[in-house]
Amino acid sequence: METNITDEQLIELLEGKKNLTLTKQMEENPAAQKRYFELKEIIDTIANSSEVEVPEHIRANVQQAIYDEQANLQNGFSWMHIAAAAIILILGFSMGKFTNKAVDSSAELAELKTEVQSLKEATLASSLKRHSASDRIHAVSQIESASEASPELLATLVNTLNSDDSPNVRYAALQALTNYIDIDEVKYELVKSLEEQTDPLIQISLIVILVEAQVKSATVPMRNLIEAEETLPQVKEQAEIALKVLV
Amino acid sequence: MNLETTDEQLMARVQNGQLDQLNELFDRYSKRIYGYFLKSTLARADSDDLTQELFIRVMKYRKSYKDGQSFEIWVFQIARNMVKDHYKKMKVHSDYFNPVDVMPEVLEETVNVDVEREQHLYRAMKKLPDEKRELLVLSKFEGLKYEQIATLRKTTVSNIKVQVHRTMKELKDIYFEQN
Repeated sequence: METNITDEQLIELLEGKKNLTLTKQMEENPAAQKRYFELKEIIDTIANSSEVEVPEHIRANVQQAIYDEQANLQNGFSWMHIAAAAIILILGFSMGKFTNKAVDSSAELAELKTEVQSLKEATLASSLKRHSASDRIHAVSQIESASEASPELLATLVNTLNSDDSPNVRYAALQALTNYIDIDEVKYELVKSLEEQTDPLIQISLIVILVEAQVKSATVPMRNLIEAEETLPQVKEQAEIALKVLV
Repeated sequence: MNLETTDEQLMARVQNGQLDQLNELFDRYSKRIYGYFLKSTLARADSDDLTQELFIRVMKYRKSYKDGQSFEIWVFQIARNMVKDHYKKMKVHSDYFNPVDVMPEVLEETVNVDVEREQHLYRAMKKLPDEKRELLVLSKFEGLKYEQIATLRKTTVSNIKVQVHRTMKELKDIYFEQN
């Protein structure tokens, strides 16, 4: 009579647990033997799986981050100082307002808003140069939540879309730019970007965004994508659908 | 007598401002961490980002490391949290899975049964729920002991053992179903 042997027991044997009774039972049980060798194949494949080298740019970026942090420690500088500067500006303005009510504050208010906006933009633009992808995505989402974005900030977003190492950051930048699709320069840059992007996800997202915004000039890079051999079939399919809508 | 500085000693130095000591910890752990991210997420570009970010987090949050705590457990705890966040946020890329992305480049003439089996394995792993795949990576690829995984997952050793065995069984069924 064949004894019932569970997969869990077989895994324990493969993990090195000594059980002579179970080993003997398995030898007399072809079905259990089959399962044993199936599990063994998986465990052996895992054990012999290829080692993947850590890409050199990761080491370089981590080292750079260490140097930057060391420099920050020496200079005692951090982005908190920018935030502190903004607070000081606001406090200064408030005190001025209380101490000299006769002065027309509207001009000062406008100036203050400009200065705070400049500081905010400088901080966000600097954040996009950080080493961590999640920090950069966070920076992009902050831009996304801003009601207005200056041409400089939009240029930074476009640059991020076209050149960030991380596809996730590029994708986040694209999503942020979608909020400003009504601006002609943004449309122009997205069309230009479609010519340069190689990541299929970004290509498809760009196609969808440009079709929704009815950007006719996007037909040229879309045709190029359809003709290019290296374009993925899914991307070609999206481009073909888009062309039917746009043309 | 082993005179090599321990991971914990290195981390204590990093904590005290000797940030260059992080390079040594990078040398010791980057391959394992990268392998963990790669096999848990099955996405190469994301694993690049996650690995880089992890070491930056170790530096940034160095003060939260408790003296005497196992560095290995601490660093894998950070890695696990990052993978969990990744599963939540970055599902958008999962449709583009290609097992070849997870493996090193191989020359055409070296393509053999082992390589095919490995690709087959990653395809099967992709079909496992994220949490189970991550558990398998910790226990079978990264070689963490059940006790260590139990600490990471805040559960009992026997619970982890049962989960690993069930996951292995599930993987086996998927793997041979694919054939």
